Amino acid sequence: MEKVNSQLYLQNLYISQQNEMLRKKAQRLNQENQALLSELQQKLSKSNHNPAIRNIVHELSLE
Amino acid sequence: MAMAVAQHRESSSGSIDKHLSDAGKYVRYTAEQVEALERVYAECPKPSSLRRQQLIRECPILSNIEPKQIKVWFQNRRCREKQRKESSRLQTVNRKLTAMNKLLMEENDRLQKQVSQLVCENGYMRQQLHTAPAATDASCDSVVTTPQQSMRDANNPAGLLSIAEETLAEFLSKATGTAVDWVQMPGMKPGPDSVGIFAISQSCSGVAARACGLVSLEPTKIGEILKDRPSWFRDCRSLEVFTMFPAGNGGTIELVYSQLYAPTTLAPARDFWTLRYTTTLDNGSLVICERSLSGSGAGPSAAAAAQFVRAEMLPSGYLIRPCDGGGSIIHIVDHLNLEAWSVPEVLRPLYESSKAIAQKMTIAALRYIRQIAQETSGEVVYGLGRQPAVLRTFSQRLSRGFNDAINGFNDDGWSLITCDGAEDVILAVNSTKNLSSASNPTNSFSFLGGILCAKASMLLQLLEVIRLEGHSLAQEDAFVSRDIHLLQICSGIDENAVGACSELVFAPIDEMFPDDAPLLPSGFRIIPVDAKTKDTQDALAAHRTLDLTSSLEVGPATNHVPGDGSSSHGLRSVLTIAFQFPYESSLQDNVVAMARQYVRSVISSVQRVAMAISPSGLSPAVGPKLSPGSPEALTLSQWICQSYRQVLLYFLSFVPEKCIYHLGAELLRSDSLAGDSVLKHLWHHQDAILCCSLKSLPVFIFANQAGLDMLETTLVALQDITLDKIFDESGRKALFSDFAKLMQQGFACLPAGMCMSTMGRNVSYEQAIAWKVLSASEENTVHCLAFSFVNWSFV
Repeated sequence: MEKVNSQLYLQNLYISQQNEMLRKKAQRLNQENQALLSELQQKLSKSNHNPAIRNIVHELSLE
Repeated sequence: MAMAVAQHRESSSGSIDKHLSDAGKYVRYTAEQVEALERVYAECPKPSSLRRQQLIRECPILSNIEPKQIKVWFQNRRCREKQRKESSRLQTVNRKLTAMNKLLMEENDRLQKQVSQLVCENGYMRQQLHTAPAATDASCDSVVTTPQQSMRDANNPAGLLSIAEETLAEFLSKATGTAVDWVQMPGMKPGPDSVGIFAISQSCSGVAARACGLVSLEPTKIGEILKDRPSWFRDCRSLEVFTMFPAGNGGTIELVYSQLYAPTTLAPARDFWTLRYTTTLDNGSLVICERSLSGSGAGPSAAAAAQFVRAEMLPSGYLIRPCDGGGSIIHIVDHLNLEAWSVPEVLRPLYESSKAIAQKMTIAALRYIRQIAQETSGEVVYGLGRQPAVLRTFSQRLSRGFNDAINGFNDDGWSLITCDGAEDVILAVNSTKNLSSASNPTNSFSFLGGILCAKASMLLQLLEVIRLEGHSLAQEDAFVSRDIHLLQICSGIDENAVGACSELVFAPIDEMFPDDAPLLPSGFRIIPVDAKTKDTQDALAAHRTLDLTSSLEVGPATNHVPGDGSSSHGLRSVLTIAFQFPYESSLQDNVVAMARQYVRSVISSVQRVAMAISPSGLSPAVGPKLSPGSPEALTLSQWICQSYRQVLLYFLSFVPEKCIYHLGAELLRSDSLAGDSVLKHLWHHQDAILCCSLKSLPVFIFANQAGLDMLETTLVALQDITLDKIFDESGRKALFSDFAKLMQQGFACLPAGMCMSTMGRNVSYEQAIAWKVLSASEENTVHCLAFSFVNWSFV
């Protein structure tokens, strides 16, 4: 039983490390996403007078 | 170590309840004894020896056990207790770990999903940024396809849904209501076999056509086919769903970008940025309606945007009602505004004719669906020993290749060659297109160089369109011409194709014509431009034949048609010619020169026929008098429309046997000379066989392969060569001296002599035989003079 437990312990350790890494990555991507979105919004609204497209972009930014 | 413990525990617990009797055998304690001991243990797990003796005295049940055994029992009992505690501890630890593990796993999954979602969204964002129509952003590359993934599942952008509903209402009012005053399509007899009932709009803005027909397919299947527009609409180059949203009521809204080929080389192609709404009505019928999004400037202007003019699609679509006996009734409405204003004046009728749209889109759609229905229901029509579907892909590839050539888009790899002043022939080069077919690379066209395309469009002032008929070819027909086979489609010549464009597109292909054979289509396309009564006429009062290839108003003397001004109610048509030549990069320049000269000669001969056939009088300046009915004109017009084979066949039927008996025994020994075999023999015969017209200006109208080689010319340029040009002084003298005998006797043998090819090289021949060729139709009228030069060679 102790062996099983130690294995489980190691596995948990590994997974928690992985989660940590994923959490950082998600954060970084989210920031990038926001940056892109604002850039897109700014570019599209500047040159594009089609309400539908602006609509989509607006929707996206509400997420 | 744990395992060992477990082992030990098992054996020890057993021994606690037993003790070694004097006889060395284990004896079990009784239940009551164990119970008594457990009770004592509960109070005091480690009794002293004194306590133990007192225990034995007080408790009659244990009296028969020796004090030493009691001591051992308590020891074992304590040991067991410790082990039990340990395992339970491990159990709890294990449970905690597994729980933690499960939690972590879930977290991991969620994070993975989130990361991939973000990566996807970022990619989408980047694409948007990349192709967003900012004025400064000129750097975007090929047309971008975005992932089919709906951005918002819960609700969709309110704006689009309202547009979709509006489109649906307008479309329904056109399909079944009276929004547009429909007029029966001329020339479409609604007979039993007819594809459906067609109507075109009379006066509404843009061009509109409607169709209604019954097809034995299920609505969803029909919907699928109709949505894949490029498959049935030959002019549609590409259709791409930009994003897709589920509309609240179970329908879907798609933002679609589609491109149409330009029919001629004179006006740019059109593209559309539309919203497509698919939904089912309460009466169970499926509706797919579509409309350009407002602000036609918007949408993903792809890299090729510069080569497209944004056109507008007014509410159009398909209403498919399932009918009880299986199958469904389809209503199709196509309503476009092709921005005719941006097209050269003369072409405008073409972009404003509802008939053209009806033929190309509406009728084509219904006909295609009927075809698929027939194929699925097993009435299979076999042509050329191939499945109908294979034939269809061939004809699609042929017409798509032809359209690619005519349009020559940059993102297909075409680039224009600027050549000498006269821009009548447009030349484009494509080095990227690799046409090698996987099945047999040997016949691939993937030269080191690439493909050259020479194309031209011009208006023909004709009373009626040049009929592309004569021996009308099947829809897809491969036939032999010398050693290469031509896969050819000839469409739009049947009588109910009023207003449709007729095309003759052919591509060289090897005998086996494998399904994935590379195709390099060339051909002709004639589009009737029925001049609208008032406006176009005064704009073109001068009725000059407009050579549209270069500047609009070119009217060299020869093309001038002095026809009487007012009567030009004539149907005019635009002829577009495109030829594609694979070439080695080293030979590029002379292939270019050859191509330009070839197309120019085709144009001049076509115009010559146009002159001949249009009875609006002939100006004397235009070459030999070719009266419309004369065989030459017919042969000429046929030749332009048919392949070389037809002409050979036509010529052979004219040559009565007796005249060509001395043409070389093996040529005619086989008596079963019919159709192809005679033709092949004649064509491959090593003697140069030429045939010239018996007119004031004897022009060559036919030559076999050897003849062409000798004169170093092609069948196209042949008719610019006159008989006297090829003979030198002595040759001409010999010919004239024997001429009388030739005419009287029917044939004459000319002595050995010399003649010159068009390139000016001298050719010597051992003997020349000349004979009269009687036309088969009217007996003993001489159709032309034939010459055969035996054992000719260049000097």
